[in-house]
Amino acid sequence: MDAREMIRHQRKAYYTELSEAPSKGVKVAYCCAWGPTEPLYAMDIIPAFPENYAVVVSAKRQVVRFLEEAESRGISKDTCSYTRAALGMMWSNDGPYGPLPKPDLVISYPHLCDPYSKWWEIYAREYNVPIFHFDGPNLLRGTHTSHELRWAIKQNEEMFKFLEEVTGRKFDYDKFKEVMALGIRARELAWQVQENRKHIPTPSGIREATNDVFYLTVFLGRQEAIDYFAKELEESNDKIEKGIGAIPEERYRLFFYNIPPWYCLDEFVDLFSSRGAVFAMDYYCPFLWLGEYMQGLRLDPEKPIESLAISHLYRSGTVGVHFEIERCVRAVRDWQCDGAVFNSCPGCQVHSRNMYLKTRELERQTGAVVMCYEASQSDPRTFNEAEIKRGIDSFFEILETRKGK
Amino acid sequence: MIEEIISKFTKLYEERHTNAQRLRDQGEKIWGYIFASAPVEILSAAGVIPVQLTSSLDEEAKGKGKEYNPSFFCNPAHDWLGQTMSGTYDYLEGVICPDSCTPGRSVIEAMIYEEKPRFSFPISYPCNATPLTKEFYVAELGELKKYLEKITESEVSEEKLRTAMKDHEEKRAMLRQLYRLRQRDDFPLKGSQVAEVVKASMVTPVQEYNSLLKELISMIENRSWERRKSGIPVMVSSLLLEEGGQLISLVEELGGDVLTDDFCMGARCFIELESPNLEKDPLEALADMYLGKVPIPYKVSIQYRQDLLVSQASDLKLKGVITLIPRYCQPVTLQQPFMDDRYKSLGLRSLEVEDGIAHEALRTRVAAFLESISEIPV
Repeated sequence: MDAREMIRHQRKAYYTELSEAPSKGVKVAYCCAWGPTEPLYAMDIIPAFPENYAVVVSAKRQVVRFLEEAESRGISKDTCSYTRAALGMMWSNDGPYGPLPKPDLVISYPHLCDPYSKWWEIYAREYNVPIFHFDGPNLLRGTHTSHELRWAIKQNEEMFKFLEEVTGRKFDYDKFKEVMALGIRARELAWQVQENRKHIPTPSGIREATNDVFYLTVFLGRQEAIDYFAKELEESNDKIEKGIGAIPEERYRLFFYNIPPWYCLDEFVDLFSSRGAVFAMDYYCPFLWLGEYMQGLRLDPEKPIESLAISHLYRSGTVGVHFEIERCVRAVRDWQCDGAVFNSCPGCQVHSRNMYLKTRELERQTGAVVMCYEASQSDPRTFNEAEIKRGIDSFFEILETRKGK
Repeated sequence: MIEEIISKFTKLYEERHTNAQRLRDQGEKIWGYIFASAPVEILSAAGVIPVQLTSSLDEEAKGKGKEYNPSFFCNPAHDWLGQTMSGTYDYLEGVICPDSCTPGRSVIEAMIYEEKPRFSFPISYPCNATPLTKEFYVAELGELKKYLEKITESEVSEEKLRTAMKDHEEKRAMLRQLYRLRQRDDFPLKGSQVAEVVKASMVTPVQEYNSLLKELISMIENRSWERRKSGIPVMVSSLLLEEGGQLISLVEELGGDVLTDDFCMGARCFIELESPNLEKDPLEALADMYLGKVPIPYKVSIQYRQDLLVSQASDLKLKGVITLIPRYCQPVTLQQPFMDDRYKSLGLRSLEVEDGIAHEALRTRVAAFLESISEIPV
């Protein structure tokens, strides 16, 4: 089974496992895309991800009716499209693989972005279930201080106590250590896949990278993630050895910043690949789930709680714009990109903040050609195809001119 | 006579930049702050004058801010950033900002990056008040204290902190008292005049402000006033008092009586804060005072906001709530349907309008709303 087949198979298996959880007495936790999955799996709780389910329903092009459902209940169209889609699915009691099962608990990270501050609370209210707010620092002054790390570690310990209260069982630290080791191994492999993208031609582009999102969201701490990333790495190494690129003829290497349009990902990527451009590096997995690696840090399986805390602290939503700009510069330089495509993503303020400061600095520091477009990740009604195509035409004109010089 | 005092408050606000520049020229250090949860006491204890960044309501400033953030950020974020980058706040030596929302974060991040003003200190401000968050926040406030000590080259002693805490608490206590006085039938000020008083609190050195507010409260308490002409009793809620102040005036013009308000840069700065315990370690006392007590939508639960506003509405026997929704403020837009449900369950009518709405459209909607609730018995 290749990596693409694995994801099809395992996505279906996960949603089946999730839907069967209540009948098997397995508790279901609603959490955001940052989980954290490892402590939940260590306590035999299955995490459910309304946010990731919004990605799925968007990719299946069924999202609009759920957006409209949320809007009909008073949720503004200016709100994050993941939030609207996910709440719409809850209120419709439906989804691409049926409704998500009712949660037994909710884990919230209110400080990570503005909709998070209310979104998870709405689930806890609607289902009348307990909620844990993981309050944490944002690293706006630079690398973490001892009291910031201590807080993040202590917050994890508080969460473990919450899981004990909900399940009525003691938190199993030995099992947690084993599960964290699996999670760290999966991250290491996922990072090696990203490192491989430095090769010219790059063995994988944004399509493969976005498949990784599912594993980094759902399966960190489980063998499935290790198997998938090991397979992906094997395929990537094989392509490098044979000189096979992600696209037939790589003329331009690009960096994609922010969340792509899930409802037309293939068509969007084709607008670039048809001109010989490949996204050799992108934002979503490396900057968010693998942010500590992008920062040059590594996790230590011998220190599982600290590793979980470090992983939390260095996501792009948490670090300051200095780090964000450094990361963009590094992405363009180290992955040898000629240009960058930035999506200023309506509704997603946390990843779009200071967007134009980032683009200016990236151009200034690297000389890369930068284009910006605006489209929400899960609301196809915001995707102005004609305008975006015109922007892409202009972008390639500049790229072509620079390449010719 | 009372109008004279109110006009002094109005002048303090309108001439805020000139006043601050004059203080700067006289050798004072002025620092800006953003958001109601900013621990201004530490700035005062460090010998600097804290002033809140205010809205210019100026399209040019917003345009400058949009050179940083996309259009789907709130007006205040564009405005604060635009004003800072275009020189309005050149008198500031530094700025502090407790982490209160993403647009706010974007503002302080850009200021840090551009070194405009020269010094910036973002503070991680927890959402919840627990022993753990308190331990963290005390350490975070300690970092701010150390940062200011390094810049000012002088110690921020416990004594200085306590003095600053007393001054700021005196201000907040008087503002809370002013809001309690609004329940009196003979309260002599209109809602728009109270807004002028509160606006000045954001930009005036604390001792100067306290003496003027003391004079106003004493005048209100110690004299009998004519029963105020009754209008339709409502509350106005929004983000900025500057925009909200205009709405309050419009409501009054159309026959409403704004008996209370709920603004992020307004009543939320003092309405729920309890007096700090001056016997305690000052930073601990500040953490106790601020954590979980500043009712901004990002940081407190929907339930907390519902309970607070409903209790204010019940105390004042209001007929309706008018909410000016700050566009792109997602904590507000997400909580709003639940706020409405709660208002409805209590028989309280609610009107929501988005900021940026054309004045005539706003006028029509407010007029229709007031008419629709005018016959409702309280």
